[in-house]
Amino acid sequence: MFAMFRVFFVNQWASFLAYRVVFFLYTMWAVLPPLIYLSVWTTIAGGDGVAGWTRGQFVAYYLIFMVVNHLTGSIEIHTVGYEIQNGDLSARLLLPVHPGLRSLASNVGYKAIGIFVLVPTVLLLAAIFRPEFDTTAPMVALGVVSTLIAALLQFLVGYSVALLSFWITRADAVMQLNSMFLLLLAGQIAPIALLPDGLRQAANVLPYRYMLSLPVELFTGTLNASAAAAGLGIQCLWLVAAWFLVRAVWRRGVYHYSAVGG
Amino acid sequence: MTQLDTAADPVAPTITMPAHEPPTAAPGAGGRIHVSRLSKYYSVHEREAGLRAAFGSLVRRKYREVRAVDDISFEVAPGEVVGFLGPNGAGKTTTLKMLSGLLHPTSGEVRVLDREPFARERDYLHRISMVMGNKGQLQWDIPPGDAFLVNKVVYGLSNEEFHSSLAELTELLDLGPLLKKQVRALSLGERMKCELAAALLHRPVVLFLDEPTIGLDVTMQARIRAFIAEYNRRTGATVLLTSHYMADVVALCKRVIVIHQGKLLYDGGLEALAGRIAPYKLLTVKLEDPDLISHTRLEAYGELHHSEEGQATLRVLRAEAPSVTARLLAELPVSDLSVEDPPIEDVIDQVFTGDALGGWTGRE
Amino acid sequence: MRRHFAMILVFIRNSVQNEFAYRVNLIVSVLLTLVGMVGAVGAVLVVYSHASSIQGWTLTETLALLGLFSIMSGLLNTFISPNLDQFAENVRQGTLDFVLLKPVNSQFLVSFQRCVVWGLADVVAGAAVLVYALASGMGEGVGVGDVLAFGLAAAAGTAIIYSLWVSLATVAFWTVKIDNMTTILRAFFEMGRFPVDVYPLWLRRALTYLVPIAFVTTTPVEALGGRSGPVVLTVAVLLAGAMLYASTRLWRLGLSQYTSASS
Repeated sequence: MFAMFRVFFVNQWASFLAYRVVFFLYTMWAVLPPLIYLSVWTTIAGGDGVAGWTRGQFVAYYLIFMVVNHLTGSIEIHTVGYEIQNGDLSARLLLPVHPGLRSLASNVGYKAIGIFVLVPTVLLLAAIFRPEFDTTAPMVALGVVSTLIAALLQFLVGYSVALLSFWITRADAVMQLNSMFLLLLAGQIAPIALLPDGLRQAANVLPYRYMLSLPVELFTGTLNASAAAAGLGIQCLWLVAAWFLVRAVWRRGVYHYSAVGG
Repeated sequence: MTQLDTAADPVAPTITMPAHEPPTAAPGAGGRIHVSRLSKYYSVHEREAGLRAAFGSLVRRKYREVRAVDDISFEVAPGEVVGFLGPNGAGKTTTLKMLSGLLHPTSGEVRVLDREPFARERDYLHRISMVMGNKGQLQWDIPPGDAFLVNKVVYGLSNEEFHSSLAELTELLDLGPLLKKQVRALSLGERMKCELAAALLHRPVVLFLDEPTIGLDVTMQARIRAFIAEYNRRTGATVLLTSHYMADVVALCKRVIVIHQGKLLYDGGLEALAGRIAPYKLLTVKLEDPDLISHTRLEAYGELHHSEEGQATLRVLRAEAPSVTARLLAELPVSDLSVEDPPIEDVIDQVFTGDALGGWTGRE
Repeated sequence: MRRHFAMILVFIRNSVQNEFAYRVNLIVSVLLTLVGMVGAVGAVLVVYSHASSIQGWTLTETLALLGLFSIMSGLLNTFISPNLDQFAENVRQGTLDFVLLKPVNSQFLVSFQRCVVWGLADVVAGAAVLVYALASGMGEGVGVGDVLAFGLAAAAGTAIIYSLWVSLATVAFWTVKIDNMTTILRAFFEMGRFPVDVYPLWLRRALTYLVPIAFVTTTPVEALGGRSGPVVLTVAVLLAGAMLYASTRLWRLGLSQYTSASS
């Protein structure tokens, strides 16, 4: 199975290299919106900071956010959704490997290549904005683990939404709704710690924080040990829930797809 | 009721005309076309396969000139229906695009309706139309009826003009049930009918048709052909048509222009073309005793084209056909005999493979 | 001119008829607009929960800006985006030929022939937010002159965003695959959500001189608040005119390339 994964990965790499410009542009999409909020918060923070956060801390937060955003983002609505709508999935279903594996490889491949554009961009922004880091090695390590889980979580959810294309034509609308929640509750418009009480409590319970914000919080060292453990625990729970979700949707979806003739 | 005769194609259904005879267009109603020494050359970047060649092409590019259309000239009188014949890549579509105004010629002169098509002047565009068999102007997800309304506004048709035009086209093409369905739900043939209607709402006087029957089933092809012939008859519009299908050309065009590798090879009548290139006839003979076919030496009468159960086909020079026929009837127990022209397809194939013409460029 | 208006009306009519046939789409689009607006207003409120004024902009002023942004975004989604996608597809499949053979300016047809009426929901939502912002404080002291200035600046902003789009579309004549470039234009456009003053100086300059989003949302709202002088307005109008002209020339260049008119 790993051999197949590797083959798809290499394949994807080759096809993406053909579209270098595409790469550059898609990575911009991971960078520019957080840049808006980075600017807003650093302006608000000014010299004195706000709510206990200094200007430099906001910069560090958002720069890490950009990287995590790229590494965890789901593109499945564009790839899988499209495949289902124009019937390409049929061919994939006949291969002795689950189409999800291919989608996952595609996802990873895209991010792996995008990194080459993203890192220089973030470094450049760091030089311009001058971030302040205050974190520990264990937290960074936990951040890495959390990023992986978050990426998987977003993949599974994104894949499930894309699978809705089996039944409806506007799965993209559902994805958009998902993205809006991510915007508000996953630490993009403001670090979750700065959200008003009601929203903050909602954010701690809903899956969105665990898709994007938690790794960033860990990397920037804003969580103490117990908060980190709790966060990771809830993240794993959401991952398990997402796994069951995608399995259920897949089974029903494929049944429906084959019933209507694919 | 008058019936449209499509004797050339036995499969064609007949179109019955309404009781009142629609007017035949006044002569000269269509547009005149003048083409002189028209050429279109492209510069194509050449690259060989292989990695080294790929790098090489980054540094130094090699260009090759492709002569898509090379020095062709012809005149088309108003109301004529002219067919362009030629294999793929011959230059037919390029020529048509230059005539409609989509492509700027490299050299030469072209005038349609006494205008330079390339200028795409407004009143020129009001009077022409182009239909392409493999591409359509109708959007996928709106019904043709709505698309027609767009054309109504685009061409500035008054309500009366629009409705009478639409009514006539609906009747001729049997569009009634199609108007409200989404284009994506129509079959290929239905889509083609709607494309034609959309293109003719504004009653153009010059019509460019690029492979209009491609991909359609035989019945639909015949219907489209019948429609084009009728449209030409009613409005006197000039029609330029390109096609792979000989049946299209045979049914519609008295005059053909053969284009091959960008050059104009022949311009004249279709029968004359066959007569010039393939000056023979096919005699098909059936003998009373079928077994006799294999025994008799038919080669004495003419070249054996092919033979099968109980019948044989001979190729005989035109001039000799009557005498050979007479001899066959006199010397053999013939039960059935027919004398036919060779199928146009075979004739044309020979033109394109260069067998028949060899360097000859004929003008009629 | 009248014919062009008639054509736009027919395009909208067709889109309405087409889209309204699907109730699901209607519900989905309205829902998306509402949720989107709630989210966007929520974002502004969260930001302002920690500051009462950012670079001289109050909450209501930023909300007014958001309203205008939503209006512009709605127009973008109704007319500009669908046509951009359609145009790239047309060039790719060679169906642009049909556009060229119509007796209407090809740039006009390509700009408007396809519209998705749902974007208008964003326009309505944006207008509602703008009116609300005006009603809750920002409207005091707004005179007729300010409103006129606003209208002028907003028109200039629309012309600017349209020119940016046409220029982007024209690239399709050469590279054909432009869906990625629309992503970049969108990302820059998103920056119009906040007043351009909140961005660091270099970004502010980029958004004024490089990709003039500043003139699309910030300038009109400043005009409404009576804060922009005649200089800025004149610059906006001149820039809009210059960009319209430049984009039209670029379009003609692309077209002549497509029809191989160059010698």
